[in-house]
Amino acid sequence: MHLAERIEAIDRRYALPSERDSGRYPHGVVATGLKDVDDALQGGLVVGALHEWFGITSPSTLKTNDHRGRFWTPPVIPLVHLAWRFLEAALTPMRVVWIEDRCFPYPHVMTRGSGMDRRLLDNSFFVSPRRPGDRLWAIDLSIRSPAVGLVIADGSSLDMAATRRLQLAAKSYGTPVLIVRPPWEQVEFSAAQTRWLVGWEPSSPYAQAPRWSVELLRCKGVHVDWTHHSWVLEWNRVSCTLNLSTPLAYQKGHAETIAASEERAGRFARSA
Amino acid sequence: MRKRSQQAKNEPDVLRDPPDRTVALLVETRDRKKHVVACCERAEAVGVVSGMSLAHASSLLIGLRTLVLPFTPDEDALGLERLAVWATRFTPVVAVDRPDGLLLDIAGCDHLFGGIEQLTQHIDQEIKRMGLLCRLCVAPNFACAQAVARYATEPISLVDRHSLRDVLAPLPIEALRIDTIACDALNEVGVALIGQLLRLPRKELASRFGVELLHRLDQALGGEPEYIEPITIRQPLVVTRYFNGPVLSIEIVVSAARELLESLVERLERKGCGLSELVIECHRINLEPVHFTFSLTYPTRDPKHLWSLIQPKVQRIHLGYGVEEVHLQATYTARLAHEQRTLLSNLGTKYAKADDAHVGKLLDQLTDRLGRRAVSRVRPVDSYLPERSFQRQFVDMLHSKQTGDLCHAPRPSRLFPTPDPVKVVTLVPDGPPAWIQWRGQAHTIRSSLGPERIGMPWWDSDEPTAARDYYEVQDELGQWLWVFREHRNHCHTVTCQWFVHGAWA
Repeated sequence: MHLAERIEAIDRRYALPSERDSGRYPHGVVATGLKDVDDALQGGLVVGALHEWFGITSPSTLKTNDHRGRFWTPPVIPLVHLAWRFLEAALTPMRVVWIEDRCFPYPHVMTRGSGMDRRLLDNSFFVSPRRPGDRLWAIDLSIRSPAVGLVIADGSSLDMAATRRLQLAAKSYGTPVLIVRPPWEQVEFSAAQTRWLVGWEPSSPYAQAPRWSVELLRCKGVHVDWTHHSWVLEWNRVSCTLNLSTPLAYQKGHAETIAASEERAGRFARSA
Repeated sequence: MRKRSQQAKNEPDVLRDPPDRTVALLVETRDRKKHVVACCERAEAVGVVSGMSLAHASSLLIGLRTLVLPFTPDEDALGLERLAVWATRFTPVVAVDRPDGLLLDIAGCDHLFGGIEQLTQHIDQEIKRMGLLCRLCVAPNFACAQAVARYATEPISLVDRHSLRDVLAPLPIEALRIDTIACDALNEVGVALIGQLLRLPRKELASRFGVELLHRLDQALGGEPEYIEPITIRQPLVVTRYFNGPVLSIEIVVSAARELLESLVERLERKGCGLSELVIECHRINLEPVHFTFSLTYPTRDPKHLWSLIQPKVQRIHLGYGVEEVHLQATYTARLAHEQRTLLSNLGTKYAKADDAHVGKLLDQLTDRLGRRAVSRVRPVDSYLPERSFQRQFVDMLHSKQTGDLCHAPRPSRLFPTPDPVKVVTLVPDGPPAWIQWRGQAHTIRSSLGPERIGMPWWDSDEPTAARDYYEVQDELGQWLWVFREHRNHCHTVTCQWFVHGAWA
């Protein structure tokens, strides 16, 4: 055996399990770029973990028990924003794998700088599995690939065992996984590190920009202040960036929002 | 160096030995009509010519059994290339002269067959044995050989250097491969044969009919050289394992395939190449051979990765009455960049580089299970139409660098594959919507932006003056939709219809 091969074998034997994420994402977390959210998460999203994002639907759809054939919209813009954050935080070249047509964004929003900055688009692969079993297999395979730095997938109808499998794979290989699920699947058990709920938010009359409310439902391993776990995000159409919406003044319904947050905080405290 | 060329012209003869009352026609559809592209000699004898409509040809062929086959130029081109490979047994320099000819440089090869006459006879017999008709010509240059083989009446012609003018003189000017404009111009002044052309002064020819005519004439007379592009035959890398009798154990077949793969990878390493396409073939007794093709996204010679693709297929082979041979063939290879072996591997950079090899492995595994159209990338395309602004590139086109410019106007985050028709109420004519009904639900519009007018491309649209007015509208819940009103001018009547094309989410 050559000397180089022997040294390589020794390297392999004593290589640390977290070697990959220490190479790509040195701090183990990636900041979302939204200050209040990062403060709540105490730094940002954990890299080797599964993060669930519940999509948006109309209130009337949520009230019904039978959701078959109901429409829901995955929160594509927050996912694109996070994909940019992971891409910029990575120290080495990485690919983003988007799995299932439902979560594919219109490619225009994946570019910045009037279409000149196409790094996210150029480094993205889109996978369209035909069967639900293939979807889980494709997510798992992408997590394990050294070339992939982020997996974004449709996680509809994944059960607890499947999310547990993905969470373990993400932790072992240091690859972040973002999955989108329909909002009525909040009641399903899941092994995800964080869970987020996205909803529509009326635009400010002064800036006609699309806005969404983002609510943190779960964050394992972090003590979250449950009185401030909901934020309003605003999309800048021109620069294709997502920012925290600035509260301009007292708005109608603000007191009700605070009351609802306090009630939720109390419910979480009781369940804990 | 003495150069001789030879041309074999194979006629389309779909039936090797058709009965006397059968004629064969090759047809293609143009402008919703079927036209004859080529026909056999019997059909030619009754007046059928190329370009004639099928109905006209059928009227001439009454009483004859007509075999009508579709014209397949791609398959013909492949067949001609196979014939060119076959012709390398006579000379190593063979070129394809599309659509129906071969050029053979037989300089220095004729004595191996006993002389030019014997070689020509031998080629003629071999081609006829295949069921093809051919006309052969041996001439001092390729241009003369092409002209005589295509336009002379004799099936085999031998042209001497000193008789070039005499042989070419009775041939039509089309034999010189000049363009149709020059041909028509010459025909107008009554010059139909090469002999008539040769009698005209050269200076006048160049000024009146172009330099190309003189160039072709000089090539045919041997005054100017003509270069051909010979075919190159690449021997594929093949490794084979012959069993000592039929094998009925799948473990032995799998083990043999594994050993063959290692052997193939060793040979690829020596050549500095990687596999782009691999074919594995198992020959079974009394059954058709089983073969699997593996197309790889990026060239690789990583045995572990290749085996992960091959193993599941090999393990499911139906052995039948036993397997006698296993072949592994590298049908397409590509040169790989040399890898520098480092003495001390750097932990930081060891896994850091998301290089093409890792991407290739991932894509190969995905496409192997999901299909080659299940994995894609997206490239911008120069188009203002939102649904045509981006093109999905599947794994076969991943290396394409084609790209376009992006539109600077705001676009939604999700674009529906087909626009959803909606019912709309507007407060003013040609104004933004005030209320829409979409997917069974009513939405009151709170605010709107627009319109942005996008004209339909008139060159590929059935409706020449169609246009869309796009609005960004917000409903009472805060949901932003991208709706458009489509105007269509049809017989001087403008019709409008509303659609939802996308959403911000």
